[in-house]
Amino acid sequence: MTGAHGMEQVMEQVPGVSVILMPWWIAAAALGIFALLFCLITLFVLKRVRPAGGELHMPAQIPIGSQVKVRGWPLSGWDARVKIAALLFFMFSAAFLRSVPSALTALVFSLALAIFCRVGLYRILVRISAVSMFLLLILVVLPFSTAPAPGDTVLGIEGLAPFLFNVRGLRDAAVIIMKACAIVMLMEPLFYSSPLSEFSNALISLRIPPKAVYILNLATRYLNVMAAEASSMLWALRSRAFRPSATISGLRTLAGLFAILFIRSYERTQRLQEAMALRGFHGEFPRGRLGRIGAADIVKAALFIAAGLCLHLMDVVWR
Amino acid sequence: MHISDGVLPTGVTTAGIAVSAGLFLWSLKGIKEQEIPKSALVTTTVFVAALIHIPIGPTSVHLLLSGLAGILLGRGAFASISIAIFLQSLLFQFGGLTAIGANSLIMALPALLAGWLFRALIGRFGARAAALAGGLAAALSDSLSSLLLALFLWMSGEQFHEVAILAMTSQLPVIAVETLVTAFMAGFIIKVKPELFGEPILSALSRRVGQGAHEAEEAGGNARS
Repeated sequence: MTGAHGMEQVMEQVPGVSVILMPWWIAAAALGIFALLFCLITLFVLKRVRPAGGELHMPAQIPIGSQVKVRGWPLSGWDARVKIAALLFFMFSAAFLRSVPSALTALVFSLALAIFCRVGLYRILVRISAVSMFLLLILVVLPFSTAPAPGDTVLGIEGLAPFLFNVRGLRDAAVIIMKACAIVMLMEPLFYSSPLSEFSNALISLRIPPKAVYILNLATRYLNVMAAEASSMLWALRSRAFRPSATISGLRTLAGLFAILFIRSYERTQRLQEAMALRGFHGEFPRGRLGRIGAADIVKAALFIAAGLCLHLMDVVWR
Repeated sequence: MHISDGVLPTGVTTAGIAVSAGLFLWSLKGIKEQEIPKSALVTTTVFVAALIHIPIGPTSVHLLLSGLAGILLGRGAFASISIAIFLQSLLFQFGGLTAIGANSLIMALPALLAGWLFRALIGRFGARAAALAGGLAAALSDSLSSLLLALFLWMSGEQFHEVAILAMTSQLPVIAVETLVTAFMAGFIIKVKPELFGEPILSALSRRVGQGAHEAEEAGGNARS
């Protein structure tokens, strides 16, 4: 089947679709430029993000929220309970948007907050690189998988009939990517603007079961101990000429590492638990007191809630 | 592969959060006070496992270990894995915070089944089958996880059907690697520290040992008479 036939079929089946036929070399050039850009960005991010040492490297220190890293108005001094609730409201508002202008506004709002609070481009890039594979999959597949509907513009490539590039699919993918980036940029302000103890207390105040918060607390405390141990064990393996591979022996070695890591950590926690039981631990950590919610806290929350509602209003208007 | 923010439509996101919140509370109820440190440890292990990449051909995969979590914790695994996913999205942006309901269901619901399968197999065949049971449990858990991932994407609209299929196929190497790693780990742990598997499996094991001793005694008795 030639390209022209494919286009005619689409035009016959779905009236109202405007079809733009591209010569194959334009499509190839566009694809080439996209691939080049993608490779450059990936290389840049990988070089910045992944430390030297290859695939089996892992950070010996995981940045948990024990220290406050994100400061500045409106986050500093904001009651943690109100802050979490307001930021979550805004995040969910952003996640449910459907039009380009509203998603773009959400992105600009989050970016402004990130700049205002000096989150740092590097930390944002690290986070975006973590979701980039999934978003890239959507960006590449969605324009081709969206079926032409009346009113759509479809790009066809000469000689490649089955591949119809639907501009609406590209738009949908762009909306998803903008929403995801807008939410990603709020993650650092959400987690790193108050100490972990305050964050946990706020979660308990927000009706998250205390048991879950204790598990979360203990897990973050074990995190760096376990990461440091895993890291040194991996280096020990490396110094014995172990190369990571998906072979039976390679996987058996890794499984042994994980198993012994878990068993050692378990024995350590048992000792710890016994020591804590001796000192009268009943499964409840002492909780610090949270201050009173003041007018300033409410005003800041109102700002975020209003922003979230405005986004939805925009969504209704522009849809 | 976790679903990122902004992909799932409103209905699917809300339903995912509602169902996973219910399961989370149920699972949390099953964790006794003295089991809190162990649950936290499993949470940490699931988290740390995701940081180690194993190269396969041109790409690399990371372990999920949700099957192992199910084996070690049983009912408590859902809460433990959900908290690990929450931490992953807070610290490293693996998956989105607004998609946490869907992501918890994808990872943690199959872990419950894996735990059940492991217990059933050990109860039936004894400790010798630990490695095999562990491998089967992990294979079941990861296959179901990739199916659920595809299901969530499939429910997001017709244009996501191809994405769903691609996302599901990309999980195949993970399933293979994870099956082997969990099998080796289960075989290792049952030899070195079987009490990690918890009371139901220990009693199943001691029952088997008791039966074995009884059979041996009978056999000995028959031989003497």
